[in-house]
Amino acid sequence: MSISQYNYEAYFLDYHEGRLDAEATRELMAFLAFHPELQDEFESFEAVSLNDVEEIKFENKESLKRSVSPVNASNFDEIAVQHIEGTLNTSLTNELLSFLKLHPEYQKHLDIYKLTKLTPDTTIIFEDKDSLKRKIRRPVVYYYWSAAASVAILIAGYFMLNKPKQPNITIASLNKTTDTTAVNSKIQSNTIAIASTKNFISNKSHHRTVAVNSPIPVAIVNKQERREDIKQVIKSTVQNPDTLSRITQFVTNIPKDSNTNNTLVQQQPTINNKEFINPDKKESKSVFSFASNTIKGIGKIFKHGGVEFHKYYSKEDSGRVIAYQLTVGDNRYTVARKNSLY
Amino acid sequence: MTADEFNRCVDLHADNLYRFILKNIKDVHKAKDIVQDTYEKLWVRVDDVASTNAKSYMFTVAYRTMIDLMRRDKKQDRLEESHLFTVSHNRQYSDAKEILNEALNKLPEIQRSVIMLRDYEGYDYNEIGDITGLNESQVKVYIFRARKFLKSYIGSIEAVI
Repeated sequence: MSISQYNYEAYFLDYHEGRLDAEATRELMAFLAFHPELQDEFESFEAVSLNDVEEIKFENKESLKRSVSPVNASNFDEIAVQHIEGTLNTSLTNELLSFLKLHPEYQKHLDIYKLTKLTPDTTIIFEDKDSLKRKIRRPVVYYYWSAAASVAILIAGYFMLNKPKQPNITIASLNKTTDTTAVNSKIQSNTIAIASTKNFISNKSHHRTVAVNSPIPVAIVNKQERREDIKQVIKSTVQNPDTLSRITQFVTNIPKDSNTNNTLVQQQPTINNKEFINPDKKESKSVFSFASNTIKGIGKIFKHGGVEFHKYYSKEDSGRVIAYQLTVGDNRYTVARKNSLY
Repeated sequence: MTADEFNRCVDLHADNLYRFILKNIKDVHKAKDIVQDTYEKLWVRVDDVASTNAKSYMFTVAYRTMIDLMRRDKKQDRLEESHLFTVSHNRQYSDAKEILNEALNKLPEIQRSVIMLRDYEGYDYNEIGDITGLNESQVKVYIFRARKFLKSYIGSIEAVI
Protein backbone atom coordinates (compact mmCIF):
# COMPACT_ATOMS: atom_id res chain seq x y z
CA MET A 1 0.00 0.00 0.00
CA SER A 2 1.44 3.37 -0.98
CA ILE A 3 0.95 6.66 0.78
CA SER A 4 -1.83 8.79 -0.52
CA GLN A 5 -3.86 11.77 0.59
CA TYR A 6 -6.39 9.37 2.04
CA ASN A 7 -4.17 7.40 4.36
CA TYR A 8 -1.20 9.59 5.22
CA GLU A 9 -2.50 10.17 8.86
CA ALA A 10 -1.89 6.50 9.62
CA TYR A 11 1.69 6.81 8.37
CA PHE A 12 2.16 9.97 10.42
CA LEU A 13 0.96 8.14 13.57
CA ASP A 14 3.07 5.06 12.93
CA TYR A 15 6.08 7.24 12.30
CA HIS A 16 5.72 9.12 15.57
CA GLU A 17 5.10 5.93 17.49
CA GLY A 18 8.22 4.36 15.88
CA ARG A 19 6.41 1.63 14.03
CA LEU A 20 7.54 2.55 10.45
CA ASP A 21 10.41 0.58 8.95
CA ALA A 22 13.15 2.27 6.94
CA GLU A 23 11.57 1.78 3.56
CA ALA A 24 8.20 3.16 4.71
CA THR A 25 9.98 6.07 6.34
CA ARG A 26 11.74 6.92 3.08
CA GLU A 27 8.42 6.64 1.29
CA LEU A 28 6.79 8.99 3.87
CA MET A 29 9.58 11.58 3.52
CA ALA A 30 9.23 11.47 -0.25
CA PHE A 31 5.49 11.94 0.12
CA LEU A 32 6.03 15.05 2.37
CA ALA A 33 8.51 16.50 -0.13
CA PHE A 34 5.91 16.10 -2.82
CA HIS A 35 3.16 17.59 -0.54
CA PRO A 36 4.74 20.42 1.46
CA GLU A 37 1.26 21.63 2.57
CA LEU A 38 1.12 18.61 4.91
CA GLN A 39 4.39 19.44 6.62
CA ASP A 40 2.71 21.44 9.43
CA GLU A 41 0.26 18.67 10.15
CA PHE A 42 3.11 16.16 10.25
CA GLU A 43 4.96 18.33 12.78
CA SER A 44 1.84 18.93 14.90
CA PHE A 45 1.60 15.17 15.35
CA GLU A 46 5.13 15.34 16.59
CA ALA A 47 4.26 18.06 19.14
CA VAL A 48 1.47 16.16 20.83
CA SER A 49 2.76 13.85 23.58
CA LEU A 50 0.98 12.44 26.60
CA ASN A 51 4.10 12.99 28.58
CA ASP A 52 3.64 16.64 28.15
CA VAL A 53 0.08 16.77 29.55
CA GLU A 54 -0.11 18.53 32.91
CA GLU A 55 -0.99 16.11 35.72
CA ILE A 56 -4.52 16.62 37.01
CA LYS A 57 -5.13 15.56 40.63
CA PHE A 58 -8.37 14.95 42.59
CA GLU A 59 -7.76 16.98 45.64
CA ASN A 60 -10.26 15.41 48.14
CA LYS A 61 -9.43 11.76 47.75
CA GLU A 62 -9.73 11.17 51.54
CA SER A 63 -13.39 12.00 51.44
CA LEU A 64 -13.93 9.10 49.05
CA LYS A 65 -12.27 6.60 51.31
CA ARG A 66 -14.23 4.41 53.69
CA SER A 67 -13.30 4.02 57.35
CA VAL A 68 -12.31 0.56 58.46
CA SER A 69 -13.35 1.36 62.06
CA PRO A 70 -16.57 -0.43 63.21
CA VAL A 71 -17.76 2.90 64.61
CA ASN A 72 -18.06 5.74 62.14
CA ALA A 73 -20.30 8.60 61.21
CA SER A 74 -22.61 6.43 59.15
CA ASN A 75 -23.42 3.98 61.97
CA PHE A 76 -22.96 6.21 64.99
CA ASP A 77 -26.70 6.39 65.77
CA GLU A 78 -27.05 2.65 65.73
CA ILE A 79 -24.02 2.16 67.95
CA ALA A 80 -25.14 4.92 70.33
CA VAL A 81 -28.59 3.34 70.76
CA GLN A 82 -27.04 -0.06 71.41
CA HIS A 83 -24.78 1.61 73.96
CA ILE A 84 -27.64 3.10 75.97
CA GLU A 85 -29.66 -0.10 75.52
CA GLY A 86 -26.83 -1.93 77.21
CA THR A 87 -26.45 -4.38 74.35
CA LEU A 88 -23.06 -3.14 73.05
CA ASN A 89 -20.21 -5.55 73.69
CA THR A 90 -16.95 -4.46 75.30
CA SER A 91 -15.02 -4.34 72.05
CA LEU A 92 -17.53 -2.04 70.35
CA THR A 93 -17.83 0.08 73.48
CA ASN A 94 -14.08 0.68 73.34
CA GLU A 95 -14.35 1.48 69.64
CA LEU A 96 -17.10 3.97 70.44
CA LEU A 97 -14.95 5.66 73.08
CA SER A 98 -12.05 5.83 70.62
CA PHE A 99 -14.35 7.31 68.01
CA LEU A 100 -15.55 9.96 70.47
CA LYS A 101 -11.95 10.92 71.23
CA LEU A 102 -11.28 11.41 67.55
CA HIS A 103 -14.62 13.11 66.96
CA PRO A 104 -15.60 14.94 70.15
CA GLU A 105 -18.46 16.66 68.33
CA TYR A 106 -20.38 13.35 68.61
CA GLN A 107 -20.24 13.36 72.41
CA LYS A 108 -23.21 15.72 72.56
CA HIS A 109 -25.23 13.36 70.38
CA LEU A 110 -24.47 10.50 72.71
CA ASP A 111 -25.45 12.64 75.71
CA ILE A 112 -28.80 13.42 74.15
CA TYR A 113 -29.34 9.74 73.41
CA LYS A 114 -28.79 9.08 77.10
CA LEU A 115 -31.63 11.49 77.85
CA THR A 116 -34.02 9.30 75.88
CA LYS A 117 -33.97 6.67 78.62
CA LEU A 118 -37.46 6.80 80.12
CA THR A 119 -38.12 6.65 83.85
CA PRO A 120 -41.57 5.70 85.13
CA ASP A 121 -43.71 8.41 86.62
CA THR A 122 -44.33 6.96 90.08
CA THR A 123 -46.97 9.56 90.83
CA ILE A 124 -49.29 7.63 88.54
CA ILE A 125 -50.81 4.85 90.64
CA PHE A 126 -53.89 2.67 90.53
CA GLU A 127 -55.63 3.85 93.66
CA ASP A 128 -58.41 1.32 94.14
CA LYS A 129 -56.37 -1.85 94.34
CA ASP A 130 -58.78 -3.43 96.82
CA SER A 131 -61.39 -3.56 94.10
CA LEU A 132 -59.06 -5.87 92.16
CA LYS A 133 -58.35 -8.23 95.02
CA ARG A 134 -60.19 -11.47 95.65
CA LYS A 135 -61.26 -13.14 98.85
CA ILE A 136 -59.92 -16.54 99.75
CA ARG A 137 -62.35 -19.11 98.41
CA ARG A 138 -63.24 -20.64 101.77
CA PRO A 139 -66.44 -22.37 100.57
CA VAL A 140 -64.30 -24.41 98.24
CA VAL A 141 -61.96 -25.23 101.12
CA TYR A 142 -64.89 -26.32 103.26
CA TYR A 143 -66.09 -28.46 100.42
CA TYR A 144 -62.76 -30.22 100.25
CA TRP A 145 -62.65 -30.62 104.04
CA SER A 146 -66.12 -32.11 104.04
CA ALA A 147 -65.21 -34.50 101.28
CA ALA A 148 -61.99 -35.47 103.06
CA ALA A 149 -63.82 -36.05 106.34
CA SER A 150 -66.40 -38.23 104.59
CA VAL A 151 -63.66 -40.28 103.00
CA ALA A 152 -61.93 -40.59 106.38
CA ILE A 153 -65.11 -41.82 108.01
CA LEU A 154 -65.62 -44.39 105.29
CA ILE A 155 -62.03 -45.55 105.57
CA ALA A 156 -62.23 -45.71 109.35
CA GLY A 157 -65.47 -47.67 109.11
CA TYR A 158 -63.94 -50.06 106.62
CA PHE A 159 -60.93 -50.77 108.82
CA MET A 160 -63.11 -51.05 111.91
CA LEU A 161 -65.36 -53.62 110.30
CA ASN A 162 -62.45 -55.56 108.82
CA LYS A 163 -60.17 -55.15 111.75
CA PRO A 164 -58.95 -58.48 113.15
CA LYS A 165 -60.41 -59.14 116.53
CA GLN A 166 -57.91 -58.18 119.18
CA PRO A 167 -57.29 -60.70 121.90
CA ASN A 168 -58.79 -59.69 125.20
CA ILE A 169 -55.62 -59.74 127.20
CA THR A 170 -54.84 -58.20 130.53
CA ILE A 171 -51.22 -57.85 131.45
CA ALA A 172 -50.42 -57.79 135.10
CA SER A 173 -47.17 -57.76 137.01
CA LEU A 174 -46.27 -59.42 140.22
CA ASN A 175 -43.45 -58.84 142.58
CA LYS A 176 -41.41 -61.87 143.28
CA THR A 177 -42.62 -62.05 146.82
CA THR A 178 -46.23 -61.55 145.91
CA ASP A 179 -48.44 -64.55 145.76
CA THR A 180 -50.73 -65.16 142.87
CA THR A 181 -53.94 -64.14 144.57
CA ALA A 182 -54.30 -60.96 142.60
CA VAL A 183 -54.01 -62.82 139.35
CA ASN A 184 -56.17 -65.68 140.41
CA SER A 185 -58.98 -63.32 141.21
CA LYS A 186 -59.03 -62.23 137.58
CA ILE A 187 -58.99 -65.65 136.06
CA GLN A 188 -62.41 -66.62 134.82
CA SER A 189 -63.88 -69.86 133.61
CA ASN A 190 -63.25 -68.96 130.03
CA THR A 191 -59.80 -67.46 130.47
CA ILE A 192 -56.35 -68.73 130.98
CA ALA A 193 -53.34 -67.10 132.57
CA ILE A 194 -50.11 -66.98 130.67
CA ALA A 195 -46.97 -66.23 132.59
CA SER A 196 -43.26 -66.60 132.26
CA THR A 197 -43.14 -69.69 134.39
CA LYS A 198 -44.97 -72.91 133.91
CA ASN A 199 -45.76 -73.18 137.56
CA PHE A 200 -47.61 -69.96 137.57
CA ILE A 201 -50.13 -71.01 134.97
CA SER A 202 -50.68 -74.52 136.21
CA ASN A 203 -53.73 -75.47 138.12
CA LYS A 204 -54.83 -72.78 140.47
CA SER A 205 -54.41 -75.00 143.43
CA HIS A 206 -50.77 -75.34 142.64
CA HIS A 207 -50.08 -71.68 142.29
CA ARG A 208 -47.24 -70.49 144.35
CA THR A 209 -44.90 -67.62 144.64
CA VAL A 210 -42.72 -67.33 141.59
CA ALA A 211 -39.06 -66.71 142.22
CA VAL A 212 -37.82 -65.93 138.75
CA ASN A 213 -37.87 -62.92 136.45
CA SER A 214 -39.29 -60.38 138.76
CA PRO A 215 -41.53 -58.60 138.01
CA ILE A 216 -43.32 -61.33 136.16
CA PRO A 217 -45.73 -60.46 133.38
CA VAL A 218 -48.90 -62.40 133.52
CA ALA A 219 -51.39 -62.40 130.70
CA ILE A 220 -54.97 -63.45 131.30
CA VAL A 221 -56.36 -64.57 127.99
CA ASN A 222 -59.67 -65.75 126.73
CA LYS A 223 -59.32 -69.34 125.70
CA GLN A 224 -61.01 -68.71 122.39
CA GLU A 225 -58.36 -66.33 121.16
CA ARG A 226 -56.14 -67.34 118.29
CA ARG A 227 -52.71 -68.22 119.59
CA GLU A 228 -50.95 -66.15 116.88
CA ASP A 229 -52.90 -63.10 117.98
CA ILE A 230 -51.93 -63.76 121.58
CA LYS A 231 -48.28 -64.08 120.64
CA GLN A 232 -48.42 -60.82 118.76
CA VAL A 233 -49.85 -58.94 121.72
CA ILE A 234 -47.44 -60.48 124.18
CA LYS A 235 -44.54 -59.66 121.86
CA SER A 236 -45.51 -56.02 121.82
CA THR A 237 -45.94 -55.95 125.59
CA VAL A 238 -43.11 -57.94 127.13
CA GLN A 239 -39.74 -56.25 126.80
CA ASN A 240 -37.44 -58.83 128.36
CA PRO A 241 -36.37 -61.19 125.56
CA ASP A 242 -35.84 -64.14 127.89
CA THR A 243 -39.29 -63.72 129.42
CA LEU A 244 -40.83 -63.22 125.99
CA SER A 245 -39.21 -66.39 124.73
CA ARG A 246 -40.53 -68.49 127.57
CA ILE A 247 -44.07 -67.10 127.35
CA THR A 248 -44.12 -67.60 123.60
CA GLN A 249 -42.90 -71.12 124.05
CA PHE A 250 -45.61 -71.77 126.58
CA VAL A 251 -48.34 -70.50 124.26
CA THR A 252 -46.99 -72.68 121.51
CA ASN A 253 -46.98 -75.73 123.75
CA ILE A 254 -50.59 -75.42 124.82
CA PRO A 255 -52.43 -78.31 123.23
CA LYS A 256 -54.56 -77.31 120.26
CA ASP A 257 -58.30 -77.28 120.38
CA SER A 258 -59.68 -80.19 118.43
CA ASN A 259 -62.45 -78.09 116.94
CA THR A 260 -60.72 -74.91 115.86
CA ASN A 261 -57.24 -76.36 115.60
CA ASN A 262 -55.87 -72.99 116.45
CA THR A 263 -57.42 -71.57 119.55
CA LEU A 264 -56.25 -72.28 123.00
CA VAL A 265 -57.40 -75.55 124.47
CA GLN A 266 -60.69 -75.93 126.15
CA GLN A 267 -59.23 -78.59 128.38
CA GLN A 268 -57.15 -76.19 130.37
CA PRO A 269 -57.75 -76.46 134.06
CA THR A 270 -60.89 -74.79 135.24
CA ILE A 271 -59.42 -72.27 137.53
CA ASN A 272 -62.32 -70.30 138.78
CA ASN A 273 -66.05 -70.49 138.55
CA LYS A 274 -66.53 -66.82 138.68
CA GLU A 275 -68.63 -65.56 135.86
CA PHE A 276 -66.95 -63.40 133.32
CA ILE A 277 -69.06 -60.29 133.53
CA ASN A 278 -69.07 -57.93 130.57
CA PRO A 279 -72.54 -58.00 129.05
CA ASP A 280 -72.03 -54.81 126.97
CA LYS A 281 -68.69 -55.83 125.64
CA LYS A 282 -69.57 -56.51 122.03
CA GLU A 283 -71.88 -53.54 121.44
CA SER A 284 -69.81 -50.98 123.25
CA LYS A 285 -66.64 -52.08 121.52
CA SER A 286 -68.12 -51.74 118.07
CA VAL A 287 -69.61 -48.30 118.53
CA PHE A 288 -66.66 -46.98 120.46
CA SER A 289 -64.16 -48.38 117.97
CA PHE A 290 -65.99 -46.83 115.06
CA ALA A 291 -66.29 -43.45 116.77
CA SER A 292 -62.71 -43.41 118.04
CA ASN A 293 -61.31 -44.41 114.65
CA THR A 294 -63.36 -41.64 113.04
CA ILE A 295 -61.94 -39.09 115.47
CA LYS A 296 -58.41 -40.34 114.83
CA GLY A 297 -58.96 -40.08 111.06
CA ILE A 298 -60.34 -36.56 111.25
CA GLY A 299 -57.45 -35.63 113.53
CA LYS A 300 -54.96 -36.83 110.90
CA ILE A 301 -56.72 -34.83 108.19
CA PHE A 302 -56.64 -31.72 110.35
CA LYS A 303 -52.97 -32.29 111.05
CA HIS A 304 -52.08 -32.52 107.35
CA GLY A 305 -54.28 -29.56 106.54
CA GLY A 306 -52.62 -27.37 109.14
CA VAL A 307 -55.82 -26.94 111.17
CA GLU A 308 -55.17 -26.28 114.85
CA PHE A 309 -56.71 -29.01 116.98
CA HIS A 310 -56.07 -31.03 120.13
CA LYS A 311 -56.71 -34.71 120.72
CA TYR A 312 -57.04 -36.19 124.18
CA TYR A 313 -57.75 -39.66 125.47
CA SER A 314 -58.57 -41.01 128.87
CA LYS A 315 -57.47 -44.37 130.23
CA GLU A 316 -58.72 -46.45 133.08
CA ASP A 317 -56.33 -48.07 135.53
CA SER A 318 -55.86 -51.14 133.38
CA GLY A 319 -54.56 -48.93 130.61
CA ARG A 320 -57.62 -49.36 128.42
CA VAL A 321 -58.70 -46.19 126.62
CA ILE A 322 -62.20 -45.32 127.65
CA ALA A 323 -62.69 -41.97 125.90
CA TYR A 324 -61.37 -39.82 123.06
CA GLN A 325 -61.84 -36.10 122.81
CA LEU A 326 -61.12 -33.79 119.86
CA THR A 327 -61.18 -30.00 120.23
CA VAL A 328 -61.15 -27.63 117.26
CA GLY A 329 -61.39 -23.99 118.27
CA ASP A 330 -64.36 -23.74 120.62
CA ASN A 331 -65.86 -27.02 119.46
CA ARG A 332 -65.30 -30.21 121.44
CA TYR A 333 -66.19 -33.72 120.37
CA THR A 334 -66.05 -36.64 122.82
CA VAL A 335 -66.68 -40.36 122.50
CA ALA A 336 -66.58 -42.65 125.53
CA ARG A 337 -67.09 -46.31 126.16
CA LYS A 338 -70.50 -47.27 127.31
CA ASN A 339 -70.70 -47.82 131.06
CA SER A 340 -67.27 -46.32 131.53
CA LEU A 341 -66.61 -43.89 134.33
CA TYR A 342 -65.74 -41.09 131.93
CA MET B 1 -51.58 -19.41 91.47
CA THR B 2 -53.38 -19.05 94.78
CA ALA B 3 -55.72 -16.23 95.78
CA ASP B 4 -52.97 -14.83 97.99
CA GLU B 5 -50.55 -14.78 95.07
CA PHE B 6 -53.21 -13.15 92.92
CA ASN B 7 -53.70 -10.41 95.50
CA ARG B 8 -49.95 -9.98 95.72
CA CYS B 9 -49.96 -9.46 91.94
CA VAL B 10 -52.39 -6.62 92.47
CA ASP B 11 -50.05 -4.92 94.93
CA LEU B 12 -46.98 -5.49 92.78
CA HIS B 13 -48.16 -4.83 89.25
CA ALA B 14 -51.40 -2.83 89.19
CA ASP B 15 -49.58 0.54 89.22
CA ASN B 16 -47.16 -0.47 86.46
CA LEU B 17 -49.96 -1.83 84.33
CA TYR B 18 -52.10 1.25 84.83
CA ARG B 19 -49.16 3.56 84.07
CA PHE B 20 -48.34 1.70 80.88
CA ILE B 21 -51.91 1.79 79.61
CA LEU B 22 -52.59 5.37 80.68
CA LYS B 23 -49.45 6.65 78.95
CA ASN B 24 -50.64 5.01 75.77
CA ILE B 25 -54.35 5.61 75.81
CA LYS B 26 -54.35 8.93 77.71
CA ASP B 27 -57.80 8.28 79.16
CA VAL B 28 -58.02 7.64 82.90
CA HIS B 29 -61.35 5.83 82.83
CA LYS B 30 -60.47 3.61 79.91
CA ALA B 31 -57.10 2.84 81.46
CA LYS B 32 -58.78 1.79 84.72
CA ASP B 33 -61.29 -0.32 82.80
CA ILE B 34 -58.49 -2.11 81.01
CA VAL B 35 -56.69 -2.80 84.29
CA GLN B 36 -59.92 -4.13 85.82
CA ASP B 37 -60.59 -6.25 82.77
CA THR B 38 -57.05 -7.62 82.80
CA TYR B 39 -57.28 -8.74 86.41
CA GLU B 40 -60.69 -10.28 85.69
CA LYS B 41 -59.12 -12.35 82.93
CA LEU B 42 -56.24 -13.33 85.16
CA TRP B 43 -58.67 -14.47 87.86
CA VAL B 44 -60.53 -16.63 85.36
CA ARG B 45 -57.24 -18.37 84.57
CA VAL B 46 -55.83 -18.20 88.08
CA ASP B 47 -55.34 -21.95 88.19
CA ASP B 48 -53.48 -22.01 84.87
CA VAL B 49 -51.15 -19.02 85.21
CA ALA B 50 -48.11 -19.40 87.46
CA SER B 51 -47.37 -16.45 89.71
CA THR B 52 -43.96 -16.07 88.05
CA ASN B 53 -45.61 -15.54 84.65
CA ALA B 54 -48.47 -13.40 85.87
CA LYS B 55 -46.88 -10.04 85.07
CA SER B 56 -46.09 -10.94 81.46
CA TYR B 57 -49.53 -12.47 81.08
CA MET B 58 -51.20 -9.29 82.33
CA PHE B 59 -49.15 -6.96 80.14
CA THR B 60 -49.93 -9.12 77.13
CA VAL B 61 -53.65 -9.14 77.89
CA ALA B 62 -53.72 -5.42 78.70
CA TYR B 63 -51.76 -4.45 75.60
CA ARG B 64 -54.03 -6.41 73.30
CA THR B 65 -57.16 -5.12 74.98
CA MET B 66 -55.83 -1.60 74.58
CA ILE B 67 -55.06 -2.12 70.89
CA ASP B 68 -58.55 -3.47 70.29
CA LEU B 69 -60.06 -0.49 72.07
CA MET B 70 -57.94 1.97 70.16
CA ARG B 71 -58.92 0.41 66.88
CA ARG B 72 -62.54 0.56 67.84
CA ASP B 73 -62.17 4.21 68.71
CA LYS B 74 -60.23 4.80 65.52
CA LYS B 75 -57.58 6.55 67.48
CA GLN B 76 -54.69 4.42 66.45
CA ASP B 77 -52.01 6.25 64.65
CA ARG B 78 -51.45 4.07 61.64
CA LEU B 79 -48.29 5.84 60.62
CA GLU B 80 -45.36 4.02 62.01
CA GLU B 81 -42.85 6.67 61.05
CA SER B 82 -42.50 9.68 63.29
CA HIS B 83 -43.66 13.10 62.29
CA LEU B 84 -40.29 14.54 62.90
CA PHE B 85 -40.02 18.31 63.15
CA THR B 86 -43.66 18.78 62.27
CA VAL B 87 -44.48 20.36 65.63
CA SER B 88 -43.67 23.86 66.55
CA HIS B 89 -41.83 24.46 69.78
CA ASN B 90 -43.36 27.69 70.94
CA ARG B 91 -43.71 26.93 74.62
CA GLN B 92 -41.40 26.88 77.60
CA TYR B 93 -40.18 23.64 79.14
CA SER B 94 -39.16 23.24 82.74
CA ASP B 95 -36.82 20.30 82.25
CA ALA B 96 -35.67 17.58 79.91
CA LYS B 97 -38.16 15.10 81.38
CA GLU B 98 -41.06 17.27 80.33
CA ILE B 99 -39.63 17.53 76.83
CA LEU B 100 -39.17 13.78 76.79
CA ASN B 101 -42.77 13.21 77.84
CA GLU B 102 -44.00 15.45 75.07
CA ALA B 103 -41.79 13.65 72.59
CA LEU B 104 -43.07 10.31 73.88
CA ASN B 105 -46.64 11.37 73.22
CA LYS B 106 -45.71 12.13 69.63
CA LEU B 107 -44.35 8.67 68.99
CA PRO B 108 -46.47 6.19 67.03
CA GLU B 109 -48.29 3.80 69.36
CA ILE B 110 -46.15 0.77 68.61
CA GLN B 111 -42.87 2.64 69.16
CA ARG B 112 -44.20 4.17 72.36
CA SER B 113 -45.30 0.79 73.69
CA VAL B 114 -42.06 -1.03 73.01
CA ILE B 115 -39.84 1.69 74.45
CA MET B 116 -42.01 1.93 77.58
CA LEU B 117 -41.94 -1.82 78.07
CA ARG B 118 -38.18 -1.62 77.64
CA ASP B 119 -37.47 1.32 79.94
CA TYR B 120 -40.32 1.18 82.46
CA GLU B 121 -40.54 -2.57 82.94
CA GLY B 122 -37.08 -3.70 81.88
CA TYR B 123 -38.33 -6.40 79.52
CA ASP B 124 -35.87 -7.83 77.02
CA TYR B 125 -36.54 -7.76 73.28
CA ASN B 126 -37.91 -11.26 73.25
CA GLU B 127 -40.38 -10.60 76.06
CA ILE B 128 -41.51 -7.37 74.42
CA GLY B 129 -42.06 -9.38 71.26
CA ASP B 130 -44.25 -11.86 73.15
CA ILE B 131 -46.35 -9.08 74.62
CA THR B 132 -46.79 -7.06 71.44
CA GLY B 133 -46.87 -9.91 68.95
CA LEU B 134 -43.72 -8.71 67.16
CA ASN B 135 -40.56 -10.62 66.44
CA GLU B 136 -37.31 -9.66 68.13
CA SER B 137 -35.92 -7.95 65.08
CA GLN B 138 -39.01 -5.77 64.71
CA VAL B 139 -38.80 -4.82 68.36
CA LYS B 140 -35.19 -3.66 67.89
CA VAL B 141 -36.10 -1.62 64.86
CA TYR B 142 -38.96 0.12 66.65
CA ILE B 143 -36.82 0.88 69.68
CA PHE B 144 -34.08 2.27 67.47
CA ARG B 145 -36.53 4.47 65.59
CA ALA B 146 -38.11 5.65 68.83
CA ARG B 147 -34.79 6.61 70.39
CA LYS B 148 -33.67 8.35 67.25
CA PHE B 149 -36.89 10.35 67.19
CA LEU B 150 -36.67 11.24 70.89
CA LYS B 151 -33.04 12.26 70.47
CA SER B 152 -33.85 14.43 67.50
CA TYR B 153 -36.81 15.97 69.32
CA ILE B 154 -34.81 16.77 72.42
CA GLY B 155 -31.96 18.08 70.26
CA SER B 156 -34.26 20.33 68.30
CA ILE B 157 -35.84 21.67 71.50
CA GLU B 158 -32.45 22.34 72.98
CA ALA B 159 -31.58 24.35 69.89
CA VAL B 160 -34.71 26.47 70.38
CA ILE B 161 -34.60 27.15 74.12
